Amino acid sequence: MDTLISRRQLIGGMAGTAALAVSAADSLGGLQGNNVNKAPFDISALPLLDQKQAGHLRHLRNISDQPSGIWDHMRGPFDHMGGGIGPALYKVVPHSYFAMALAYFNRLPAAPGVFRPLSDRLIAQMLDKEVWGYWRLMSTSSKEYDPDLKEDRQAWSDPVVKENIMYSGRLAVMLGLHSVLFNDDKFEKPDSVVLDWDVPFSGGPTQFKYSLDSLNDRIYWQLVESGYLGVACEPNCVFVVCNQYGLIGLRLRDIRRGTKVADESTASFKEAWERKGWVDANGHLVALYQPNQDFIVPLKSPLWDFYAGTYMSAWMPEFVRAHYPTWSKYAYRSGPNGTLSPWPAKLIPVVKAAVDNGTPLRSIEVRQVKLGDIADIGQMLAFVAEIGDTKARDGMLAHLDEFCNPTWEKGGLFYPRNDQDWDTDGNMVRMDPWTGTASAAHARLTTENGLWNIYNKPWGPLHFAQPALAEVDEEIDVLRAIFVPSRHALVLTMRTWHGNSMAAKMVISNAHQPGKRWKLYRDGDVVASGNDAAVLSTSLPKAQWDAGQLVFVAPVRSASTFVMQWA
Amino acid sequence: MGVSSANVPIGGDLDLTDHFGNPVTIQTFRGRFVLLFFGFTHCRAVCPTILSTLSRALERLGSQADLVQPLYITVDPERDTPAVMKAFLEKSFPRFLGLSGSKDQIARAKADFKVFAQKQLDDTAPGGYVVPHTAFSYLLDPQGNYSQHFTNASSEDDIVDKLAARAIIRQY
Repeated sequence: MDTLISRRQLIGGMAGTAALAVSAADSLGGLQGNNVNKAPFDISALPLLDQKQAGHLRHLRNISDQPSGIWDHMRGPFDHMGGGIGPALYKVVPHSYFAMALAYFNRLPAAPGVFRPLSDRLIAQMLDKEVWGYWRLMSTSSKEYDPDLKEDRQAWSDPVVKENIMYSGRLAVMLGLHSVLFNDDKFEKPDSVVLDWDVPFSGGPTQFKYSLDSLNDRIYWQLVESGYLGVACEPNCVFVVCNQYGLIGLRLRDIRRGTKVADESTASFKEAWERKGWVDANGHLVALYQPNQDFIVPLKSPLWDFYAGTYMSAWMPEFVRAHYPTWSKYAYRSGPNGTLSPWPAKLIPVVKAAVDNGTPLRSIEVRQVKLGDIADIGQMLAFVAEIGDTKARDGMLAHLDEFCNPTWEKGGLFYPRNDQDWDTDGNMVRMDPWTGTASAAHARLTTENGLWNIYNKPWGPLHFAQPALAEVDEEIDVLRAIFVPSRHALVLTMRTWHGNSMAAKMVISNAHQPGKRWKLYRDGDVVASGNDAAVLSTSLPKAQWDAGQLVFVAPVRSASTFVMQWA
Repeated sequence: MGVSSANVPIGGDLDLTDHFGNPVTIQTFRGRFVLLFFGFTHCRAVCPTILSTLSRALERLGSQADLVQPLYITVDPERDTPAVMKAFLEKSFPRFLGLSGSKDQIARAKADFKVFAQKQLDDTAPGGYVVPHTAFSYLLDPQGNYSQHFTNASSEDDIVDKLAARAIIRQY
């Protein structure tokens, strides 16, 4: 922890900004004021981020905006399967991206100006060698996970050419989401995705160049060659969950290209696993399969059900909902003040026996159990949020707030890493960056069926032709951003994260509506007006047309609502 | 299909034996389109269904079908000798030429086309095992290069349309 504190101070110095932690109260920014719903029509029912949601989103923006080599709140704990910092980062970075994407699509659909820079930064982090460089070491395989291995395999550095679906699949989803959510073809161009192996050893320096297409083709043909049982993560380790990323990536590519490869692939994946048997006698999903031995490794934890189920819910929602009662039956442990946390997987047989015998559950001593590095609660949170079990979601989020040291830093909310398992009262306090940064954000920022919505009801040309907030200053928290077709109005609620006043620049795209006049309201008062050619009046420091977009500069401090309406 | 091979090489030279006992490579079929399917003669469901679908599709192409060489490569070389394949195909799917080979030769062909096949014990099956396998049909151009593939979900109409739509078939 000392290391983290000193790094925080270092960043503050490097970036020239005050990196002092601010309390939740300090960072409220007037959210609870009256201005959020002041508008020329009733906007109270339009989605508005609450304080914690805004805090999570701000934290994602903060972690993505660190100098190269700085991974504050993202590193560790070290993954024993991979070594180095990569295996932690290849989870935190993409899952932060997923939380960001879910928030954008489901809650702030008219704010590409907030999310596109964030998308760019997180993808740049994902392509950083520190995230994927572990693969060269891992690619040699091991008798530990492939007992028939006669000698180490020849190592290779390219992290997506073969196997390693835990990285390549997540990367495919990130690139696919970027393409789909921003209607942007930049990663569809040949060689647009560059993995720079810039070391003069181990076959370098060299670059591995891909595109959305070539990356997905690599994954697709490996799926085919596996009989659709799945592409390996670590050598000879096929995790059902990581193949969900591969499948979702194929769907996102389909959305861009109008093809149906994902339909074929998901159906084949399901059929292959039904033939092999992917639900055990107790109703739990297969987690890990070793193809070289045709062996299903028994991983006895509902963690894997929730983990895979989160992403399966995009393409097989009935299946995961049908199995949820079994997965959750002995999974949750009630705590004080309405909190909910996972029973340690090792204790679930004890819990089951206690329930069957009518023994009070409080008699079960949890502190004897050593937990794994990753807090199971993160996988559970993302899942219950996606399927809409709000009671479980809110109970587990309450647990994080009660026992996991919610921390505000530069307007961002997260739960800092803690390698201790239990407090003296037996409450789970372990926290890892994947959970505390990404999964908690996922749970708070998605909506029921949030991922399903992207997969099944992607935005089309109509959405991308609507007015939107195309650019906004990084210091601005956008709490509401939606276009209301029936009112022909773009509704934005925003504030500064630090609570200080600033002249905020905002750029409105698709603002040019031929023959129409427009008015810009700030908290219900007209602050600018014009037509499709000129700004006719304004009380703002700046309001002007620029290359078909409207550019405003407006003072912002506490939450203010801007409504731009055409008539 | 929406999947290209530009990024992932699909196909290879082949080094196999046809069901008349002749050695063949992909060059043997140069100048004709190749419609290639992997399977095994003891297959009870997938192979008969797809071989039937492909046969009917070729039938509907009329004389254009003469420009297409249908091939059936075994994934069960232990049982599917050239003689066994000849008997199987001539009886039910006479348009197809069966290809067999050693275990290594078949393994190379499978790897070239990214084909999955895994021996699986099954007391109810003839010989006590089955070999679940990839159910793709690959179309190669007259130079032997991968052109596209059909999945087991592809309909007969779809296959006919795709084959017929290749103007090159008519022009060649």
